[in-house]
Amino acid sequence: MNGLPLAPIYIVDFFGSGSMIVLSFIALYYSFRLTQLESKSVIWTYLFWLCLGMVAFALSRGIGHILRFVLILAGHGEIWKTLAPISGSLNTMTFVSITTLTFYYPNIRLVMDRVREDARRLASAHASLKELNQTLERRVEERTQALRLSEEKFRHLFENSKDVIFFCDADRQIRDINESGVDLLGYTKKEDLIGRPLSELFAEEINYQQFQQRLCSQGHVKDFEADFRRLDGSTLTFIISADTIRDEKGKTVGWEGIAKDITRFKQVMTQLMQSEKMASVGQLAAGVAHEINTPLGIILGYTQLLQEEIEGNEEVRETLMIIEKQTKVCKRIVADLLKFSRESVKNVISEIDVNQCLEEVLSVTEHSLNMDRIYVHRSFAESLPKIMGDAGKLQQVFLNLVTNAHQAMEKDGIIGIWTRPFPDGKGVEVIVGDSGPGIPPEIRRKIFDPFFTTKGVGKGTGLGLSVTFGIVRDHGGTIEVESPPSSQEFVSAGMETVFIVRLPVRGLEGG
Amino acid sequence: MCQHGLYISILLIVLFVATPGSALALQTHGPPEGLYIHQIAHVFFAIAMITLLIFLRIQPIGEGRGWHYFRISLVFFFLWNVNAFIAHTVESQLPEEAILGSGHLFSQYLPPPFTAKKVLYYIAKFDHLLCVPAMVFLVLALKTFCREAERKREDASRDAVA
Repeated sequence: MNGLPLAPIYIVDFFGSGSMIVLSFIALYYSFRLTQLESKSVIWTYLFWLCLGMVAFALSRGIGHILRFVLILAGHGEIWKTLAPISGSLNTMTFVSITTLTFYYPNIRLVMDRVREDARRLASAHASLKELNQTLERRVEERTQALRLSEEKFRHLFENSKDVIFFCDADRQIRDINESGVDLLGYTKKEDLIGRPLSELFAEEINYQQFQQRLCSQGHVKDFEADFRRLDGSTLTFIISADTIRDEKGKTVGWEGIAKDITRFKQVMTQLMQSEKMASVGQLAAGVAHEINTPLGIILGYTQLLQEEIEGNEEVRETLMIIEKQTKVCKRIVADLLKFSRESVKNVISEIDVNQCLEEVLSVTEHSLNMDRIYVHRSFAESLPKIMGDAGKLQQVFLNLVTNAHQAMEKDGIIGIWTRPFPDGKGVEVIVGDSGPGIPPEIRRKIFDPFFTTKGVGKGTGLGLSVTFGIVRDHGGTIEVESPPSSQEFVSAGMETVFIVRLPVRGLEGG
Repeated sequence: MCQHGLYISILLIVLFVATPGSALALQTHGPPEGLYIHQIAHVFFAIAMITLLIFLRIQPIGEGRGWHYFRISLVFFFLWNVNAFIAHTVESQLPEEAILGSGHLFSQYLPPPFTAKKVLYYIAKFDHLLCVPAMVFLVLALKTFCREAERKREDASRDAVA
């Protein structure tokens, strides 16, 4: 061999070109398959386009090289010389395409990485938002439930409270009030009260003015005592606590308040105070009476002795008679004091028919009452239970009350006497009333006080009702005065004042 | 300022339109341009391959046999481009009489003396010994990727059924 043969080069070139074409198509198939399997993968997409470029390159180069052999071997070398630049140019284009694609891939991948990162963040944010949304829904549900429970709780408190709960608007008109308020104020339905001015409820205008002034100046009122007027005109005493309702700007938009009925409490407190006062006075009276009684007995004894010994001296005898008379007055007062303080003679306990007891008293007094044209109205219950007590003392009680009524009217009037059993049958109620002028409120509380009298000097000792109070109390009962009477029955009978005596069946026996 | 800019723009347009000269926009290049472009394309192709190789090393997409084949393929493509560049360069420098022989292709040969250029030309002409393995490794890499993707899909569907 004179030189290096080029045949091996051409053989390798021929078969290499064919192999390149076949292999490029196989590569294209696999890359396409990859894009089908994982369509969202950037690298597989890049490889698919790379393989497409390789196919183009293999075809342009391989077909060109094969064609070269065919044309030259066929004796058409000139044609190849024409086609060769075209084949080379196509090769160049495929190189550039593949290069461009390859240079772009990292950038695309970076972009895709960023997109993926953003998508991941977005998904994370979405998940967080979703969770937040779910949490929010749960929270809203929980809060709504709590709010509903709270609303139910306060609604229950509002509706079932035994106190009056009211709300007023800025015009001081009642906007809402609970059922207890409606009942206590004597109404039948809430709508009758809604829209009424709050001032209408106050029995005294001055009380409302004070209430309003304190509420406006301090923003709240605590333990304000006032009387409310009921629908029937009667009054109840309430203790009120109230607040102003303000909006977010601090402007007063209404009032809210709770009023507690203390009427009964006040009555009990008054009775208790009276009872305490009576006990104190009784104790004092008992001590004084006990100490005075003995000297009075001695004075009376010696006065009577002197009257017997002094004969003929009329002037001295008259003086002694005056002393005796006044000493007896003193003795009677002392005896009354002792009765009031339960220090007198022991009780004679027996079973008493109250109606009969009253008839005995009236038999004694009715004559003088008739003289003064005072009519006695009797309304005795037939099946009245008998009570255990001291008949003499109870007669004195009724006598005192009838006498008191007589003295209150002087002439022309009606004395009404009612008896009735307790609803449970465990006591008797005796009402003694008169059609006299009534008792002014300012002295009503004092009438049971010892030595309190409205009669002139020398006309009364002021011990009658005190003794009555003491005897009734001694029998375990109570005595009250109403002027005017609260019951329509007594009012329609013309009564202006009634004394209500309540005596238990086993009062004195029980102690 | 805006008005001044507008006046200057109008003036320039008038100068260009009103004073035409010889146009220099289109130039026809000589024969070596095709070879240069082809060579530059080979250089770009080589740089692209090596760039991708470096990129995959810095930020690997995955591990395993498939990526190993792919990297080998890139190396072969890179070497093929270098080889092609050398072959074209040497070929352009060899005179026409460097290859002798009758018209028949298979009777052609490189006559002595065997200079370095001639030897380099002769070796570089076996470029298919580089590009065919490059393509083979590319096919192997893609085949491996396909199998892995299919296995992954099967696992996913099995998990979904479970």
